[in-house]
Amino acid sequence: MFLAADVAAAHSPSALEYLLNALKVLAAFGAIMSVIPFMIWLERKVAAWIQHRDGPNKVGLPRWKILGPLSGFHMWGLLQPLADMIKLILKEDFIPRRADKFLFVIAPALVFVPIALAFSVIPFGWGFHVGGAEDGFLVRYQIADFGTGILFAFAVMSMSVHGLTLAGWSSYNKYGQMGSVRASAQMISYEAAMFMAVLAMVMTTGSLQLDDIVLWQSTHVWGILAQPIAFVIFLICAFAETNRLPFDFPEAEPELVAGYHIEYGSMKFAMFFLGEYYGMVVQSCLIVTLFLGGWTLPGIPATADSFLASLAGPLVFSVKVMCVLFLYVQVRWSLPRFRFDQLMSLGWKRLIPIALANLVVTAILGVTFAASNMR
Amino acid sequence: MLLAEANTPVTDWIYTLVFMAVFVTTLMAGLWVVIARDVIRAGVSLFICLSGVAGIYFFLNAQFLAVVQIMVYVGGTTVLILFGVMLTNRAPVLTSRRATDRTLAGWLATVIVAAPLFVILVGRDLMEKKDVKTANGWFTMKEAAAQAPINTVALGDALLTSYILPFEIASLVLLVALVGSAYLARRREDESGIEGRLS
Repeated sequence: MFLAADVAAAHSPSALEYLLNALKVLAAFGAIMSVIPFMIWLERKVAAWIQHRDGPNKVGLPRWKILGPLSGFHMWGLLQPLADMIKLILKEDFIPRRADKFLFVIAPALVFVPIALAFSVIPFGWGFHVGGAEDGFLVRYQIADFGTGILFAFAVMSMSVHGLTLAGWSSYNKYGQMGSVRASAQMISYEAAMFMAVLAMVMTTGSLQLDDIVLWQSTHVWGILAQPIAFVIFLICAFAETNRLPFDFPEAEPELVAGYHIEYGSMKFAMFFLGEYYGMVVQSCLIVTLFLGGWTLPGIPATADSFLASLAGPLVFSVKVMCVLFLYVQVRWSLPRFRFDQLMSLGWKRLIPIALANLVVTAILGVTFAASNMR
Repeated sequence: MLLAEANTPVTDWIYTLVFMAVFVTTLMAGLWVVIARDVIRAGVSLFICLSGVAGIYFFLNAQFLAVVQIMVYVGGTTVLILFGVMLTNRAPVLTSRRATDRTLAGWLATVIVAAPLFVILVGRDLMEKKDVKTANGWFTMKEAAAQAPINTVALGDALLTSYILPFEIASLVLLVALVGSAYLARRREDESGIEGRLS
């Protein structure tokens, strides 16, 4: 009921709508789970290009006669992630003797599940109309569309820090624990600046609903032009929140070996790995939704609701997300890691004051110039 | 369309089932917070319990409250608790405490918190006193809750007009707590500073 509450505000949701919601959940989850192996491949390939190597280029189609001319085709190494996954599944599932077993087992899930939850509010497109003019309804390209969608996304994503913290704690390992203390310190510090950057965008658009923010951008300008400072702050914080390279302290290889997931192997490690990439994809989706116009492009009608026309939305959205993801990969292989004190002073002494000032200026401008639009 | 016209007993049943699951999980986790012997496990139970409370808010259609609950308590407070425990404990050792410590004080605190809540939430409802004012006049709490607007604009308006005093008092209490904790942390630093200068 609460999932479909806003889709069907007028009537109580029918079984068909429940079914559609379930299908949407499956589709979104499936889409992400198929994007992540590609992301891993892309990361290794781009890393190889940047470092003048070849990268994965061997694992492709098998040499079976059925495949004809394609037999043994290397596919540019695209099947490498599949091979990696099989390797991870076949590995020994190891739990250290003195580990806190219960927490050790649930920690990977605590990283993965909250991030997956954040996906439920992201609008991939407008939607299409089903049925007649009277009894029909709009099927949104969004799992749950409620009034405080943007807050929900960030709230559940902030829950994933528990997984990192407990992973290090429960594995009874000093490197692990240092990694998790770093993870919680880092994520708490950067969340503050991130929320303030988002708040500036919310004040500009006057809504907490993600599709409203996108539609505002399609009628005015993209968020990146309306709130450039907020965009930069958000981007930096997004890197910090996903523990990607300039900020990958929780798992810094030379200092902490692998940080919080040092004792993890097999599919439990894979869960952390998936969680990291899942986080990247969600953050990219949020960046696109908040600052890069979401599913809209100038020239394409934003709220076309026939089935074929509505397909343009998810397509545009995916292309934009891919661009942001490419940026993530490129930054990882171009920048060295900060020192920990640099990380903290950047977060607390630079980003938070700038974000706060940006927020105050936005509020003043909003009240003076667009007092009627603030509602 | 058969599926669209199929009435909702099945969906109602799913709804009730999910609600009961959330409800029971919340209660069990709350109980575990009290009886767990290991501080970290108690912290994790608190995390589950507070998430469950947020879930119940979702069922009550108070989405903003639910989201704020997750953001402040689940994403903020419990992280700080776990973080604090980990920083103050040397080395990864599991700390245990006696669960039976201060039973009387615990019961007293429970009664002091629970009794007013019970009176406010249940007692007033039983008396059906029309003592909540909305735009349409005076209502019992149940009626007022039913007609409460759920959008954030109305919520913000209410917080900064009708309920400005509780709102400001809450912020004052938070400020006092902030200053107090800063003072407590600072004094220790000074002591070590004096020792440093003497030695």
